Amino acid sequence: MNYPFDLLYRVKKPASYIGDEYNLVKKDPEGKVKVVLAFPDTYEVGMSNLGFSIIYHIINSREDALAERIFAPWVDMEELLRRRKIPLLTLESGKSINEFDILAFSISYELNYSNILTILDLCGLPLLSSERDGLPLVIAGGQCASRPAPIIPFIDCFAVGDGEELINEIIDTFKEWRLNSKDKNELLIALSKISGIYVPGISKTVKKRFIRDLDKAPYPTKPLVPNTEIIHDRAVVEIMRGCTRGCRFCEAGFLYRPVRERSLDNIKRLSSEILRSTGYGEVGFLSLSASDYSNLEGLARYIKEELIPSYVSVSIPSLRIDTLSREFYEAIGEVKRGLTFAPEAGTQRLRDVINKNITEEDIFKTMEIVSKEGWEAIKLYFMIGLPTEQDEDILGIANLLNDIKSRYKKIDLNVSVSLFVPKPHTPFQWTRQITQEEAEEKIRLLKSKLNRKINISWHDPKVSLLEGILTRGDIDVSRAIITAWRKGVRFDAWTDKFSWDIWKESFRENNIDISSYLKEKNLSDPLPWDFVDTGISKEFLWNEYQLSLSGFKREDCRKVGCYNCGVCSG
Amino acid sequence: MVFARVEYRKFGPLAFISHLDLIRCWERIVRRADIGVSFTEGFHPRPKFSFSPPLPVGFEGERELLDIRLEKPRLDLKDRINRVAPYGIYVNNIFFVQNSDLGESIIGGLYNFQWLGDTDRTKLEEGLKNLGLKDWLYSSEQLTQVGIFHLKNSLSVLLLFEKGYPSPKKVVEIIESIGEVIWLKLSRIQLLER
Repeated sequence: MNYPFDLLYRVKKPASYIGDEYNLVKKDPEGKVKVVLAFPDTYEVGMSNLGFSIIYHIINSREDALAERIFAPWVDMEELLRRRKIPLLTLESGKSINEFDILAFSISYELNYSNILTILDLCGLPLLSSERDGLPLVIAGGQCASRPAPIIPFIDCFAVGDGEELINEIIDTFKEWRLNSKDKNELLIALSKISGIYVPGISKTVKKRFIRDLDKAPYPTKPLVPNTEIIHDRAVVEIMRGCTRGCRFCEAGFLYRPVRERSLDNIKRLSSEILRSTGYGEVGFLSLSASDYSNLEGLARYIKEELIPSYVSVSIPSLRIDTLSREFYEAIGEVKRGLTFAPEAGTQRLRDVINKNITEEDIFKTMEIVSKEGWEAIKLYFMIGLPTEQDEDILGIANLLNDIKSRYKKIDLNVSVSLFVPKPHTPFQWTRQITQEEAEEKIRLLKSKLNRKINISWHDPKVSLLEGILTRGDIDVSRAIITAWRKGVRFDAWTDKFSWDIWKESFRENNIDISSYLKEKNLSDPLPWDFVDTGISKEFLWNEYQLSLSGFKREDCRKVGCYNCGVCSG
Repeated sequence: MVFARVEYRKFGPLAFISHLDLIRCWERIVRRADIGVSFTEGFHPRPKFSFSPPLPVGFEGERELLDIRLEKPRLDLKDRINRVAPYGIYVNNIFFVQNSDLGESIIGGLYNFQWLGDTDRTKLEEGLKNLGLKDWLYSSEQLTQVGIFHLKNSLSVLLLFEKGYPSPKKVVEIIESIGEVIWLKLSRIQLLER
C-alpha cells in the first residue's frame, strides 16, 4: 500500500489503489530496464485485460527488466492527488514515473483517450511528445495502435499487433541504446527499425506483427490475484486468437487474423497451473468464437471430467448455442444466467450484407434448445445504423423479437441495441455512420413496434458518435482531445461521466468538422490509418465492401477455402 | 462434522477491501492451501464458511474469526494457510470446534480510532454521548514532526452488535464533525464473545 492511509480512506473504491496482490513479485530495480505499464481505465477494467497481463508477465520474467502498474484513478482519487500534490504512484514499489525508463500504455478502446492525458499529467509529464525530453520513453500498444492518428502527438512510438515478441525487442533495443547513447532520437531511430513499431515522424509505414504459434508463446501461469472484484474475476485461458467467420462489421475479426488455436494439452496444462497458483474457483476459456475451436469436444470432456469434479466452474464467452450437446451445457451450467445470442440484424437481407451467417432457422433452433432446457432468459444483441439499412430492417428486428416472444412466453427476452460504428481495417471502413437524430428515430421506431414484455436497452447514440470520430479521426482530432480533457472530460466510456456537450464544444473550438469523419468515403480517399498494414490488402476489403452492398455472403475461409485476404501469406 | 476456527489479522492494504472481497479472498486462500474443505453444491461451488461480523471498509481487524468446514481435521492448517495468504492476512491461531456458531456467539467489538488533529475533548465526549455511548477510553499526546506540532488522538469504544449501538462509521463521522483530521489507523482490536 503506497498511498497514505488517510487519502485512501477518503476515496470511494480504495481497494483499487492498494496493490499487494497475491503472486506479486517485487523486484530490485538495480540495473534493470524499468517499465511502467499503464492502463487508461480503472483497475477493475485494466486487470481484466489479457494483453496487459501477458505483457506484464513477459517483462517480469526477464532478469534484466521489471514492470510495474498504474491505472487511471477515478475522479475522486484524481482530485485528492491534485489537492495534496501527490503524483500517480506505481502499485508495486510506490514510485513515481521519473524512476522509470519506459511508460507503456495498453489502449484497447477510443473512449479511454482522455484518460491517457490524465495519466501523463498526474505522472508530471507534458502531454505532448514534442515537449518531453529524455526518459521515460512513452509507447503504446493494443487495438488502438492500429489507428493511432488522434493520439500520435501524445505517444513517442506505437507497437502494432501481438505484443509477445515486440515487447522483448523493444527492451533489447532500449538496453543496447542505453549502453551507447543518451540521445532519445537515436533510440527512436533504432526502435523504428523493428517490424511492427511505428515512430511518428520517422517511420513511413508499419506492418502488424503476429505470433504464429500460441503454444510456443509465453503465457502468465501465476497471474496476480486482485484483492477486490474485477470485471472478469477468474482464471483466463485463451484457447484461440483470431476469427475467420468474416463478419464485415467486426474489428476484432479482421485485426486478429490469422486464426491460431492453442492445443488442448496446452489448455489443460495452463488451466491447472493457473488454478493452482491463484486459487480461483472459475476458469474462462477465451476466444472470439469458441464454437469454432476444433477440439471443442475434447475441451468439453476436460471440463466434465477434471474441472467440475474439482469444484471449478467454467465460463465460455462467445459460444454459439447450436453447436454442442445438452451434456456440455449441463456440465458448464453457466448458461442459465448468462446466455447470449447475437443475430445483429433483423432481416436476412441485412444479415447477408454484414456477413453474419445466422439464419432465422438458426435463431429458432436456438430458442428451441433454450426452451427445452428450461433456461429462463436470453440476451439478444442487435445493431442499428448498418450499411444499406432501411426501415423494414428495423421493423424486422421488432417482428423477429415479437415472434420469438409469442412462441416462448416464459422466456425473458433481454435485448441490447447498439449503434453501428464503422471501424478502420474492416470492409465497412468507408461507410457512413448515421447521425444522432437518425439513430434516435430508429430506436423510436423499434420501440413503438416492440412487444412491451420484451426488455430493451440501447447505447447512447452520442457515445457512439464520439467513438466514431475518435476511431476514424485524423491527427487534428488530438487538439480536441486536449481541449476536452482540459475542460474536464474523464472516463468517457462510463455513462455517468460522459459529456457530449463538452466534446461538441471542443471540436467546434478547434474548427473540427466532425461530419468529415463520419461521412462515406471512396476507395481513392486517403484514410488516416492507411500507413498501418494489418496484412489484409485494401483491395480485399474494398471488394468485400462491394460484395456486401449486393448482399453476397462469404463462408468461413477455414471451411471453404482461401479468399486471399493476404494475412496468412504476409 | 468439524470446523476449523481461524483467528486471523486483517491489516495494511486489506483494511480497504469490502466484506465480499474478503470472502472471495478466503475462498482463494483455502483453494490454494488445498486443505480439504467442504464445498457447496451447484454450478458455482463455494467453500463452506462462516465469518465474524463484517468490518467497515478502512478498518483493520486484530483478531477476526472465521469458521471453515473441513472434510477432516488436520494439524498443519496454520502453516499451509499462512504460506498462501496475501500480504494483509495472517493467521495467529486455529482450533477445532464441533459447531459453527459465530453468528450468535459474537456480541460486539472493541474499536480503536487513531488520528491527528486538534480535537476538542469536550465536544468529542458530547458527540459520543449523543450517539448513546457510555464506554470509551480517550487519550491524546503531543507529537513533533519536523518542527510541526500535531496532536495524536486515540479513542477506544465498545460497540455491541445490537439495536441502540451505532456503527463504527458513525463514530468516525462524529470525530470529523469536530474538526479537520488526518486518519492514522482504524481497527477492531477485539471481538467480544458471549
